[in-house]
Amino acid sequence: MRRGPIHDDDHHHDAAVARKGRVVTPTGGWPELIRCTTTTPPPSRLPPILLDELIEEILLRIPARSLVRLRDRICSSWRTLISSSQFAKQHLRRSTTVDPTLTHPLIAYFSIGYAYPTIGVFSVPSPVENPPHEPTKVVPYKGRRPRSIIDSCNGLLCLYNVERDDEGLHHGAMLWNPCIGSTSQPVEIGGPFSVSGFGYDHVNDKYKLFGRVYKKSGEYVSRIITFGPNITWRTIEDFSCSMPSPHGTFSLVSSVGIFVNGTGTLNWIFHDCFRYVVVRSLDLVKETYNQFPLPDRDLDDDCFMSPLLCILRGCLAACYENKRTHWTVWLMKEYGVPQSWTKLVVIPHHPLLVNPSAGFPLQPIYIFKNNVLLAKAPNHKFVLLNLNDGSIDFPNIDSSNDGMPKLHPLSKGLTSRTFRLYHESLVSPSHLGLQSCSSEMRLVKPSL
Amino acid sequence: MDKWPSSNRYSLKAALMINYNPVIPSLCLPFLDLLIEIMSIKEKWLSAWCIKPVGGALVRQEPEYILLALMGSPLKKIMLCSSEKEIFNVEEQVMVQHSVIINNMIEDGSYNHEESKIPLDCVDSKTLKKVIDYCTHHTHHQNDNQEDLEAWDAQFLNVDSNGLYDLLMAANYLEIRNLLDLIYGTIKNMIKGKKIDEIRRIFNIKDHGFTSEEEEQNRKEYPHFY
Repeated sequence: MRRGPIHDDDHHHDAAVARKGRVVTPTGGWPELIRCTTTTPPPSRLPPILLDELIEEILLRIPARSLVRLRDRICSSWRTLISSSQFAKQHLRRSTTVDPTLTHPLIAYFSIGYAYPTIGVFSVPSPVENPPHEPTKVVPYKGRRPRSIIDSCNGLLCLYNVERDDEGLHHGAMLWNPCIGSTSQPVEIGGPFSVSGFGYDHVNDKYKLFGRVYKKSGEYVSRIITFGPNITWRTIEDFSCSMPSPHGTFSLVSSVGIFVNGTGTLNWIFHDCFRYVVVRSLDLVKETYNQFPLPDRDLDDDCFMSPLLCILRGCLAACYENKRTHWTVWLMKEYGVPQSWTKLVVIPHHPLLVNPSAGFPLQPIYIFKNNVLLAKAPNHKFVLLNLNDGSIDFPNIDSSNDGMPKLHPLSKGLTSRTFRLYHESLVSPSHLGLQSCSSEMRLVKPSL
Repeated sequence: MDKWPSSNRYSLKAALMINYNPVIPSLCLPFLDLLIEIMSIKEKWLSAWCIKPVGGALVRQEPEYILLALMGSPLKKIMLCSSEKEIFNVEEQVMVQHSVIINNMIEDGSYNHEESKIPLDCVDSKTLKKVIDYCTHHTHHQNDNQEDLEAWDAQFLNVDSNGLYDLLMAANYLEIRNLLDLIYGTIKNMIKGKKIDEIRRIFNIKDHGFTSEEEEQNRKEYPHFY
């Protein structure tokens, strides 16, 4: 076999052969692949040359967290490849469409009451992976404490940060990827947000932050901030927090919009006290508002409690409480098409889950392939609900080292904390053209 | 259709009627003639109606050429020529189904069945034989269950490091998607959980390209990775 880079069409006898032969500069050599064999290669062979594109294909099949470990340590060409924007995008695409094991879901939370400079992160406890009673440990990321986590998208968390200096208060947004450990400089947003949302414009390949900013003048303005080497602000039609409904007014339930990947939209539920619900969405690409209905509620439902929106299996989902006896989870299989609201599952009430005095909804968070749902129960605990057989498990999460000593342990409940789900990715703020933040602002994991 | 003895046409019809129940009742015999005529022009359309004589009974098997099978003439073959100038005769359908490159060549019409051979200068005989093995097995055993195919694949990839590398290069050159995916998966599993030094050895990376300070720093901070 002739060793060398793939040669081009000149050497072919047959005409018109469409070849994908791009001549690629070889990297290092290859094999002494580990294998249990006693055969040794014949000494007359030249060291084979592995094409860059083949290495790329192999690396694209490795989970994000392993790639982070390998990135800076194998060789400089691997480092360049794994750190590249192109590779990160392809890896992200593979993890969402072809192989979900390339990424993992995690939960990041911060304390509401006490201003701890820590964000606690833990792996979503999988019903399959963890041995049943070994606790999931929380890893504390310490740094300058951001005021809150707005939301996550494609592995990037958007943090809201407030800083005071001689000029006054500065309200900023930072992008953080905990998996690779990059944080961007705060980007000025102009004031605190009363309504917000973070998502990805797939048409223009830009990450965007939406906020209804409360300006110093006392007015509100709705603004879309596009991240990039030049941050842009666009003022759009104001987001109204109340709208007329058939019997009164719809009011906004939750201030953070849910981003549906692939649609470029942020979505909010509006609820009126007579049981009508509607979804209001903002299209980050077109910068227009839209609205569509949710499934109708039964007459004897508990209508004071509004359903919450979430994302399950990539689709917009809502969980209703029905008749005080069970919950129904609805999935919008085709975004924007109200007829595609499908019942995913009906979950009967369970004494361990219900907190009659509190009046909080069941909040679905993440659903595993084997139909186990991780949710926040009305009693504020994380719970794993097996939708196949109805069994319930409260995962054991060890938050003792999360750097928030005054809060009671996570396993007792999630009160005083706000959490966000995210998935690991290799997307870096630097790929978006953003500068890294200074070292004192970085959120750092404790070294092992 | 001068190459078609008329007795074969009737046996074809009979065969279709026996075996392809969902379709045949809706086809009247006269239309079958037209169908056969069309089939002779574009043999690829046969893939839906492929049946092959197996031990006397006619069994649905795809995608063998039904006409050729019933006629008893050999399946259409093509010639592949390895870098060592060895010629391999392979069923055209097998290679066309798996290799994008070969498929393009055949569809292009530039390949003349009587005379041309496809030169594959980058693939040696040993590797080419293995590749042909893979494609042939996967074509003939398409309907096998998943575990059996996976077991066969595992056995197929039980080769030494150079052999695996050669297979990868050949699969890449010929653009055989499923073989490539299989090999990538195998290599990925080989490096799973391995330490940095071992991975470097696997890929024969002698010069890591880092400065000695960087390398030292990394080793000091994360000794358990190495």
